[in-house]
Amino acid sequence: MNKKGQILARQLIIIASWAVLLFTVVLMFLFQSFAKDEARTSLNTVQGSTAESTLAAYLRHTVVIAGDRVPFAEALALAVMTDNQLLIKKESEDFSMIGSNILSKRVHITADGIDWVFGELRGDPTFASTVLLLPNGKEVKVEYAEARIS
Amino acid sequence: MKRGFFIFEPLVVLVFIGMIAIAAFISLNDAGKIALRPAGSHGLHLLSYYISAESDVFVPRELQARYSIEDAIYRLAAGAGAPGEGGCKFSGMKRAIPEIPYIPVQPIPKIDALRNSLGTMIGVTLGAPVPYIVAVHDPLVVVGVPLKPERFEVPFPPEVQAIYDEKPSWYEELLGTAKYSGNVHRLFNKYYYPRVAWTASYNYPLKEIYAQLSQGVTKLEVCRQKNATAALIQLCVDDKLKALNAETPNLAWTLTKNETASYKYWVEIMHKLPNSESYKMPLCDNPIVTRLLFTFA
Repeated sequence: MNKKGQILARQLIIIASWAVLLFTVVLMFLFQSFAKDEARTSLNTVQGSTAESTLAAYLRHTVVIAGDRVPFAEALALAVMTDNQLLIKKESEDFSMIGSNILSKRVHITADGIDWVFGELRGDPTFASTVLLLPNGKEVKVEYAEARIS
Repeated sequence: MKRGFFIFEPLVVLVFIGMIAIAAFISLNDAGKIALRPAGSHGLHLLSYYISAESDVFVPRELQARYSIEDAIYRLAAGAGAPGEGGCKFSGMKRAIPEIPYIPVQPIPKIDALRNSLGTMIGVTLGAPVPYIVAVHDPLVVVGVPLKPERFEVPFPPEVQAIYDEKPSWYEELLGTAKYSGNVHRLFNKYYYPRVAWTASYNYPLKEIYAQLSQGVTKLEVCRQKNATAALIQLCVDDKLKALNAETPNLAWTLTKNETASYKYWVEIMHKLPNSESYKMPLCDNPIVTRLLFTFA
């Protein structure tokens, strides 16, 4: 082989080596996509209950009490402390997140001597719950369930 | 070509083929299910549990902070700018609040000292698992920032936990995925470290109220005249209180008791918003008051 041929061959080997390397990398990603379980989870789905998102928003959204804007969790604490479910009844039944397609929802609040239910449930529900503390250390359990239009 | 080429080039090709083989084996072998998960689904997995931490941890913590703030405002007022007695009488709670005493008049602290006192009181009573630094702004905006990140554990669903509970196979140990090192996977960490701050804002005008309180104390001190008669001091006090009620829109001054013989005057000052009778924090039944004892002897 003459010198020009050797140079060409060397270039070809270098290019071919890079091509093989890149091909290997591409194959790795391709084979990884064949793997089962978590790697197959589509990137636009969230595991966990959608009710948790709604419950978080429900407790965080603000209402006005005696001129002050407070989080709804505080209004809920006040309602339990004064045993006045009317204070939060309308807000609990009407609350919904913008853009959500909630078919039905139910809020169940239990505390010392208190057992309130707002709304009613139908369809295939998801659940979320939390526990809030009152100033005297007693617990208020909030259970939220919702069913969405699929 | 040099002879060495025909030795190394096949070796290089064999290495590449070996890499492909390992990749295929890892991804296609069902027995091990090694968690080489893409970062995207890991982030979403964390996010779904972060949302539940929002309701389970962060909202209750903010609620506790708000209870502390509302109680601290009352105690600050009772102490005329320093931590004092009393507190918030939470609605519906059988909480015995001590009667707010009449404290001897003293200089009202400046706004910076007031903010420090309030922040310290709130920080002490908060009782959160992480220490907070509390900042107070106007009108009354209180921000609590955690001093250190807090470790949260992401609860894996059972089917995911089962993958990590499996006994490793020989090649998993060979590859060293650190799957069994304290149950923390090098690519799928089940712990995350947020630093979540809270903010509480109220209509209570902290700066204005204590500025007016300071103005009022200075004005009333004018009645301390050497060799003045009791009647003259009484006249002075009545006159100044009337003027203060007109000049301080956030305070209502009332002379509750006086002993002219000993030159003592008990003054109750109610904190309020302009054009209102009194101001109460949202969860509290009692009004915010300061009680001062002026002795002009």
